[in-house]
Amino acid sequence: MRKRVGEYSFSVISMLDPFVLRALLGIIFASFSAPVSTIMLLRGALYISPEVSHAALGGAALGVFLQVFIPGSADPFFFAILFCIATSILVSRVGRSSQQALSMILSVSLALSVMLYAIIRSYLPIEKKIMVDGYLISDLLLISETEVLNLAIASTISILITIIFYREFLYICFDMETAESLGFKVGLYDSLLFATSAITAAVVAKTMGVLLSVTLLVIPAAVSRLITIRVNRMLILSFAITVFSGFSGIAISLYLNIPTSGSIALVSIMLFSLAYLVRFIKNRLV
Amino acid sequence: MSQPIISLRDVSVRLNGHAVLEDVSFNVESPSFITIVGPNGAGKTTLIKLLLGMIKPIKGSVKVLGMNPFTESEKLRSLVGYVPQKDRISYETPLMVWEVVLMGIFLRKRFPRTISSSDLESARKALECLGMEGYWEYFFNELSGGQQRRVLIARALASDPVLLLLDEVFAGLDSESQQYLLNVFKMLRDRNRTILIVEHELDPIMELTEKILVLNKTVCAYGDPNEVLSEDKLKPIYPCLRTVEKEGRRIFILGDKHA
Repeated sequence: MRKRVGEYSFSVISMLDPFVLRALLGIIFASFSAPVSTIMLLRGALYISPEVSHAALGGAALGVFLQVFIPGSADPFFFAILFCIATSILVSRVGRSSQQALSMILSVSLALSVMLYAIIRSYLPIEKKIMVDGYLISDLLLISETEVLNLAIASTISILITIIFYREFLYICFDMETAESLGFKVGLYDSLLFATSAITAAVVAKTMGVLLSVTLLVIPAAVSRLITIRVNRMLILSFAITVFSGFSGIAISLYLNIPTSGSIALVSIMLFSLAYLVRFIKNRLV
Repeated sequence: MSQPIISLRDVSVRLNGHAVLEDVSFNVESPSFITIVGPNGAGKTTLIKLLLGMIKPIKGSVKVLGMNPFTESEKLRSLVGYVPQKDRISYETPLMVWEVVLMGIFLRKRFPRTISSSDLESARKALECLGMEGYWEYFFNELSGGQQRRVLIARALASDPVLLLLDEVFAGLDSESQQYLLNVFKMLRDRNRTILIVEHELDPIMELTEKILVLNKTVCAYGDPNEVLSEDKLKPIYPCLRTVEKEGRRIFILGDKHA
């Protein structure tokens, strides 16, 4: 039986609808965040990424504000990325000295970002308010062609950096002190890792919304860590899990007429629960 | 007389506003086996980091292999091998043994870094030297403590350094693993390498130690073990000092508690 829901109908044809195609592309580009998230997991800093994605709110609000009052200024997504990178690098620099300082800096930058979002939002016309709110709770099915292009550029940059510096990042995760003793610029590469992670945090904030960013920034990496011990397999698996969660989440949202981000979140949480259960049973049997 | 391999003159280091090293001066001739002991917080690890050019002094001069480690670090880094304390390693990152050893070669290179067949060969030889060649494709975090230590020493040896700086490599090892490492260090010493080792206890390394440096923010004693190992010199630093007889030898147990 074919179920018709709203303006979409769940079928292969509906999956080729331009709205759905853009959403699928958005998921593919958001999936490029998975490998760097896996490296952040090994670095013991994955919990920072969803926090950093909150900075996208302030950046996007500023970007929309500038677009309204200074026509021709850069896309709000650009400001969202800038804010995420600034927060992330600050956190990486401060976090190396103390965990408490890291939490403080994270809280202060997020508080500033949310305040900026709230203040600027009150000055924006209603259609622009919706645009900024898209970073809080995103609807993937409403993503525009320009936004898909922005996501493509940002996520391609992040995946290229991850591939090029894969081994350097791994060695930082493994033994920062010896890396430094070898003359390797640990601070520089660590900041690069955090900046790359920040780009992906902004991409995921745009596709999933800040409130559910944890779904794609943390869960796929955590699932891959439960399934395999080999790092290269972890990176590929986390990418595959993100794509699977995204595609099946979109399909479920179309079929049941429920919010896309929410259904993607539910699929990834189910995958995590399943992986955890399998691991638990396996450990009991061995 | 040949130039000392390590030379410190009136070196002081402050970290976070606290004096960690004060007016430290000593020379190390090459080749030799030097053991640095001192209570917790005596500045032992800071001293090693100073020699590696990772921490700058507020005063004094530091020379390693005749070079300034802060201005000539690039030349120096291929000549010095370093093994950190085990708690500096993240066991959450599942690297294979060959990847760990290659780290010692790979990160010394300039960007774009690649792994060549000669790099792999050097890593293999370093592992052979430590009797770990059969563990090439094992995960580092699945090895025993002694095997992990051997892999980390292989990593330090991969670039064939002339000076080895070791930070508490004997800590937590059983006597069999300790004996294995002693034999490796003996072999390296015979190959004219200089080894500077930081340890909490002297017992495992006494038979190799040529000079002992007792550090407690400053150099409290430095010289041959016979000169340095006396209750008069050690008691002020180690109030819980004990001596025991073992196989006709007098062994100093420095103890965990300190002044």
